[in-house]
Amino acid sequence: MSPRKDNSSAIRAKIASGLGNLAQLLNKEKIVRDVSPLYKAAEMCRNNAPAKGIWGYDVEPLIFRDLGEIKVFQNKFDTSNATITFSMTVKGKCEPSEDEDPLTTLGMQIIMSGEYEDDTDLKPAFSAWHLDRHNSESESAFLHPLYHLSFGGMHLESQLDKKNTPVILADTPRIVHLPMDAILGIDFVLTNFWQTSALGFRNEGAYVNLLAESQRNLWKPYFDTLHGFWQANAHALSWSPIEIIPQLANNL
Amino acid sequence: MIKYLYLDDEEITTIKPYRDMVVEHSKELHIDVEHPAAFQNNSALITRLKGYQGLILDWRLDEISSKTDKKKADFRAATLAQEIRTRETEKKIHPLPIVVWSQESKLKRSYQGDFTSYDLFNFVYKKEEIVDNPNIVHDQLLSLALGYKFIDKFKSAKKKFDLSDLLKAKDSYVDIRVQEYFNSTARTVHEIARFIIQDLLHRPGLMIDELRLASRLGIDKDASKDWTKVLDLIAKYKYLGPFGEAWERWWAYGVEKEWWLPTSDQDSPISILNAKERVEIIKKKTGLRNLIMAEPIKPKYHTRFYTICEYTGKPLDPIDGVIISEKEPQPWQERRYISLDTALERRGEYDPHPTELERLKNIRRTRG
Repeated sequence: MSPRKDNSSAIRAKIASGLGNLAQLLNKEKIVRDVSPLYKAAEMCRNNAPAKGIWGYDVEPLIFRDLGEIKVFQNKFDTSNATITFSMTVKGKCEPSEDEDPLTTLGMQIIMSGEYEDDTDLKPAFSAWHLDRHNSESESAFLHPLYHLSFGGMHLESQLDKKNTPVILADTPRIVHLPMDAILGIDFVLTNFWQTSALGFRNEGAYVNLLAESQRNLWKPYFDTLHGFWQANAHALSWSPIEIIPQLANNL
Repeated sequence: MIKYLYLDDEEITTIKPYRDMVVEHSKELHIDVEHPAAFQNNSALITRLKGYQGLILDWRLDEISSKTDKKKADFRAATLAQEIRTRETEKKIHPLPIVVWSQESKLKRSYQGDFTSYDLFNFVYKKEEIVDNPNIVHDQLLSLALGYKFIDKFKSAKKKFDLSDLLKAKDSYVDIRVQEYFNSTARTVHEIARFIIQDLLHRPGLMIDELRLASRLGIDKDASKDWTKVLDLIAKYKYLGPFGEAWERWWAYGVEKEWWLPTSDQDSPISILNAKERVEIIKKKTGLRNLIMAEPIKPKYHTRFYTICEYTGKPLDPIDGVIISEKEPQPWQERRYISLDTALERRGEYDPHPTELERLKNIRRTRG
């Protein structure tokens, strides 16, 4: 077999230009305070190889504002001036085969910061979620779906005054979730915290193309593998469905 | 020895103290003072400037007559600077920095409304600032002249040059759009100098100053005895290109990725941790003990510091900040911030960005 041409740097450049396009779109919509974290992520992806054949970038605090009217179930929480902070570290294979996990590392966190009005004062109030790709090499006492979304976790814990906060903070439940990159992750934030009426630009061609590309790259192999679990050749799957959802019962 | 020519129409007894303050004890910088009326004829000035590496101008040169020949100059700083910049392009004179020294009141009347002349000067110093910080002015004048020389030499040695060579940095530190800026046309030395100073050194993004550096590491630099040892550890990422002598900067990518990730043994970026966590990790991994965590401006502010409040110079988590109104950033530049409270109290010279006004109004309303 002749050695295949290494397209890694072209693929890194392509992912970088997608991030740059997203930055331009978000800048135009003015819902992010400073889009420079996305441009920085793009440059990081373009110029740096985390390893041979791997792309990667960090999106460092991207702050969203003017959230939609979010329902909060306690009236003392004020979210009218709340902000969302989005951060992500992601790495993936430049040229994955059709049936393997295209990502190798993923950590995404979303922190909501608002205010809590107690009898005398306004106190900072938080909420946080994180989406991780479980590192199967590290031992853990609980089952971890490969991609899981949890509430709270260490990132919230470190923000809080531990004596005064009436919230139970545990990094559970670990809800099975789809893999994300910055484009899908930011779309997740937008579609969860803004009314659809404020998101007209999601229908624009440039945005749709960005989404479609990321979904094709990350979600298709994910669903193909899960679909394969119940097919005749399940044993031949190179990406194990049980890794994705460890709760899957294997009685084949 | 770097020599500047300083033209000012005020009485010599009024202006000499500024000059003396700046060059006092200096072995490297020399400034000659002249009345502008001596150079009615531009070509006399061009000839004279051959012996100098920089020019200092008062903003108004045409108000007061010279004591010796009772003549007034018939030009101002902007017209003169324009003439010199044109001669530079014609290669009739070597490229050199031009700065303005003027009283704040005079600048307010005329310069601040005159945007067309902003590009001509490298720097505008209020005379009041010179009195406060003569050493900084000394270092900057020196660095400006050295930087011009370096860029000029670099440019004449190579027709097409790599920006990373000019900036003495790795390619990967320099944003692709910045590279493009230099590829597109033949830039003059003055344009390159202005770009480096205004767009790379003064606007944070690719590079950060010491206050931002301390903010990102979560360290109170003034309270920490080992701060200089931290600087030694990251000396490799210091900016060494033109003007770096007076404008100390660090490559953000170098510090945050190339130093922090392996040093801390962490997968995630430093910005995700709060100041306490950052400082604990730095202390543990470097063995430096005398490092104190930076405190937020207000007790209820967050401590995932990444930027500073421009007004107080203190570390700021952008979540507690308001972006300021300034020239829209280029893709490689970060927004600059003031703290929420500075913005609410409308302190200082920075105005909130127009997109922040609605939010501020809301916050004012809820706070009563």
